[in-house]
Order: sequence, then structure tokens, then C-alpha cells
Amino acid sequence: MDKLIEVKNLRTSFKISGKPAYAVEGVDFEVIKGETVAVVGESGCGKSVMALSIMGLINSSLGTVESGEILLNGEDLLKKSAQEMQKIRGKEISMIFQEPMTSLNPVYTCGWQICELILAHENISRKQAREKATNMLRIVGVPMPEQRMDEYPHKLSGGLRQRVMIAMAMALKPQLLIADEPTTALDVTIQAQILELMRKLKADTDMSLMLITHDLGIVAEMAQRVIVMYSGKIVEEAPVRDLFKKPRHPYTFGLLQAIPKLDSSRERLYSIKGMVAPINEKPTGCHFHPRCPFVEERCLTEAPPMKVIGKFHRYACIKEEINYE
Amino acid sequence: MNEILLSVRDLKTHFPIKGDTPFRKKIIKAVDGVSFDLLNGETYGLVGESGCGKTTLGKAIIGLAPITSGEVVFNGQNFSTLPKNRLRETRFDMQMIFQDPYACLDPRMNVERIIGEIFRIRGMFSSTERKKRVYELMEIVGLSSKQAGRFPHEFSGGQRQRIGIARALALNPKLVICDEPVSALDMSVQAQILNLLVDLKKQFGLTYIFIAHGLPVVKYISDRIGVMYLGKLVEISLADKIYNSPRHPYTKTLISAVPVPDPDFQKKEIILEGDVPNPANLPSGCRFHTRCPYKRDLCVEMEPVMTEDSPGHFVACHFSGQL
Repeated sequence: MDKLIEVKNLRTSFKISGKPAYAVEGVDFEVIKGETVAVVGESGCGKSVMALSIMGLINSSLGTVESGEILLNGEDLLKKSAQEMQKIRGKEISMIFQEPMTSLNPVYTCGWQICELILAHENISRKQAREKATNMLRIVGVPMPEQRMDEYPHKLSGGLRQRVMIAMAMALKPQLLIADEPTTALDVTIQAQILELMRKLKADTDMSLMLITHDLGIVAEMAQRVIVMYSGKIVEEAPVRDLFKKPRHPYTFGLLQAIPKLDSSRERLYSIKGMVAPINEKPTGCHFHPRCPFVEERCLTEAPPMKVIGKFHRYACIKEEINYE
Repeated sequence: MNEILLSVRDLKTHFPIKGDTPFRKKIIKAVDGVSFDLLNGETYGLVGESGCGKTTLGKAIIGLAPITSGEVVFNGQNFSTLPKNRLRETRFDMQMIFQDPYACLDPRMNVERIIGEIFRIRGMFSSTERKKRVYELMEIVGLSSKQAGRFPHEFSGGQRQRIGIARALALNPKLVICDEPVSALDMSVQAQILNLLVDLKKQFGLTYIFIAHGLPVVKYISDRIGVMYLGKLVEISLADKIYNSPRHPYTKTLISAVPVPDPDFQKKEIILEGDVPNPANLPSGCRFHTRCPYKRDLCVEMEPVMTEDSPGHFVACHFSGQL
């Protein structure tokens, strides 16, 4: 149970009309070596910003990581210089983005882009790098890898592009792979292929996977633990089975209920009313209170405490246990 | 309830594209012989991967894509023989809700103009009456009429989709074609919009064609489902039947590919290999044979025809009974 990465009180802010607005507001969690952690929540909950903060990819002209610690094997990434981070990104931690269309450079061949990454980190010849890249494409299941090496991204389908992205992210055997909605832009059949591939690659290495998604079906299939974020904060964290069988936070409950299930009859779908507040207009007290069906007087003023109810199971709600029957 | 509102017969939409030489034009067969009947008051779901022609089919029915051959009969009127002015008139009874709530609203018009535009074009109502009607429509879809002066960028994705729905309802249509109306939305907002669509259907007696690639959503909202692959329907049946006893191997893989939100669920996953083939270069025989796990020799040679497997359940596969 070695901790690979430990995030403590991470706060990331963006300047909105001169005032700092917090996209990530005091987040603590850890990722154990070799496990898959899913991060779920609606758009605008701060999932992606949290991932970008870990990667050190927050655009400094727009926002900053204000405080906190991100410990990778005990070393604080926030104290690293830009050059040092460049050495870590891609080698120790790498990331797959949602849009395989926009995250590859259209003017370079796929092979060139994978080689560039390998050459930036390893002191090997271009020929060796090319071999390594071709081999990587073969591992991720790209048909005819030698030919694909010399093709430009626009020639590939969405599924193949995502495979190229995965090949790139996995080329240097990182310890942590952050996948930000890796299959949202893909068809279900292609999604199944990509998820299967990620499962297989993870089983072959002892990599940890942080999977950001809003599809709870993917969470149930892939993850061991789940972190639920709302409005920049963690509202619940639990082992996957506990979360699905016995959600504690009303937001988690709402998310679970809102899914149309394939085997259910046609009753009315549960929906969470309203939407996530913009980060510069967060409600007082519990950020979820305007949408919560169980709201009370004190939710409006008091920030909910984090309650720990088991190993790896905690949630932030001021109320006593809610009966969701 | 049981009368046929829309009947599509052997509909084809082909797009010519540039071939290898100027004299050899290639043709993309986006929709290649689709037939189905839509009953008054039902919700007909169309599922399939991207590129299977489901959006083009929707657009061809409503007249936004050309029809190469085949017939569309709506409310007893055959679109291919109807004179142009009557055609336009009839098509007002069909409306469409688009996938991308960001792209389908004119950014320079406020909501009042967007929803009221159709009244202006048709010269309906006086300006005060028009305003009243727009406000009514906004309230119906769950927007506040106070927001009428706002522009699309001031709304969230879910709210924009509501604007699109209000616009589609403006002329009291009989049929609404919903093209992936919830794909771009978050799970919780998706539930809000689906509930709204179900409510509106009851309130106004609408008939829907619901196009989506997410099977759970289609299953939730539809009475009947048609599964499309490369321009053709491969299976048609009642929503429950499609899910509980799929006959076509493609339907089976689609169902098994959906991640199930239950950690204890043990699933038998059939993972398809490869991508959808290029529609400009269709496989011989059964179009699905290049990816089908049950492929036999016959499938490469002969294209299967749609047959009635059990009452109301149609499937186009040579071996549907034996799988």
C-alpha cells in the first residue's frame, strides 16, 4: 500500500474580473501504487483543473496553484522548477486528453510526435526511438504500425488517434497516467476497445491510473476507488462498491439516480435540479445546497465537515445519515 | 394511436465525392435503402455508431438532405410528388432538435427572436401576440420569460437545448426529430432534458424520432428502436425486445459495449475489432461481415434481407436464428 502521489490541500485559482476564483478549493487525496482511481463530477466541478494542476500545466497567465502540496514519491512537485517539471511530465506522470482530434499536432506525423517525446527524455538515437515508437503502436493495437508512423493525424479515425495518444502517454512507462475523459468523444464500440486496452496495459505494468470521467458505467468497470467532486471540493470518496451500493452524499446519490439504465423500466428519471454554479459565484455554506433535496437551514451558512466512516470512505455533508429510500 | 404518421420506403441518400480520377466519381451511400413506419404518438429510436447515416436519415426525412431515391409519406402525403409550396407547408409539421446546442442557435439573435423567427417568416400573429406566444413557449420548456432578451452565450448547454426545443415546438408540429439532443450534456442535465421531452410528448401528443448513439438513453425514451449500420437498418423491434433478446450480432455488441454502472455486474463483453468501414467503399455481402464475430462464407457473398423474426421484430442477418 505504497502511496504514489499524495495531494494535500490543493487550491487553484483563476483571476475573474480581477478577483481570484477557486476552481479547486482545498482538495486532499492520495493514489496508491498500481490502483485505478476515478474522479467524477459534472462539467465545471474542477476535475480537469485538478489534473492540470498535478501536471503543472495551469497556464500561468490565467491562473495559479495557490497553495498545497503534490507529493510524488514524497517529493513536492509544486517546488520543482519548470525544467525539472519538464523531465517529470511524460516520464513519471503523463496525461491523455479528451479530444484526440485536438491534442495531436496536425503538421507532424504520428511517429514524429511519439519520437519527439522519447528523445526528449532518453539519450538514444533517432533510429532506436523510432523502433521504440513503432513497438509502442503495436502494443496499443494500431494495425500496420510501420505505415501509421509516417501518417498524419487527420488520416486516422478517432479511435486510432486515441490509441496513438495512449501509445505516447505510455511510451516511457510512467508511474501515473491521468486520463481526462479518454472515451467521451468516441462511439461505445470504440470506447469498449479503448477501455479494454487501458485495462490490459495497466495489468502489464504497475502503473497507477487516475481516470476522470462523468460516465459512472466506466467507473464501475474500471476503478477501485472513486472521488466525487463538486464545485472544486471533494464531496465523497469511497471504494467503488461502497459508493454504488451505499452512497452517502446527496450529490453522489443524485448522480447515480440520474443514469438511464439499460435494464430498468421506464419510470421518470431522477434529476438534480439546476446546475453547477460558476466558480466566481459559489454559494455560501455547502456549495451543493441550492440543488440539494435534503437542504436544511444550517447548510446555507456552515461549510460541511469531512466525515470519515471507514477506510477510504469519507464524505462532506453536515446532516446525519440520509435515508435515500 | 395505431395509424401510421410517417412511412419511409427504400430511402436512399447518396453523396458523390471526388474519386481517384476526374472520370471515376465515388459515391458515399450515407443512407442506402431504409424502410420503416412510424406510428402516431410513438417514439422511434435510431441507434448506431457515428458515420452509420442516422443523422442523414433524419435530415433526409425533414428535407435538409437530398433524397436520391425512395419515398417519404407523411400524414398521407407523398413528399416526392407534392408540389414545392405544399411541401414546404407540410414540412412545418415536422421539426428538428439538433445535437450541438452551441452551434444551432444564431449568436447574434436574442432568445425572443430565435424562437419567434418562424412566426415572423410565416407572418403569423401581431408583434404583441408573437411576444406572448414566445413567452408561453419559454415557460413550457422551463425557461423564465424574463430571459427573453438574453443571447445564446448567456445560457448553459442544458438551457440552450431548451431554447432549441421551444423553437421546434413553436408551430405545434406533429413530428419532432431529435438528433442526439442530450449527447453534449452532463449526466444530470441529460436527465432534466429527457424528462422534459417525455412531458412535452404527453402534453402535446408529439411523435418523436430520437437519434442517438447512447443505447441506454434511446432505450429509456423509445417505444421502438431501429439499429442502423452503414446506411441500413439491421434490426427493428420494441425497445425492451431489442435489449432482452437482440437477434443481430451488431445489436448484441452494441449492448454489451455499454458500461454498466454496477461494480458487481459480470459481463460477457463482445469487443468489436476495428472501425466502421469507409462508406465510400462498402464491404461485399453483409456490410457487417468485416467486424462480425460470427461471420461465415455466405455473409461475404450475399447481402441479407430484412425478415420478420417474430411478430414486429425485424432483423437482417443470415444466421439470426442460430446465434
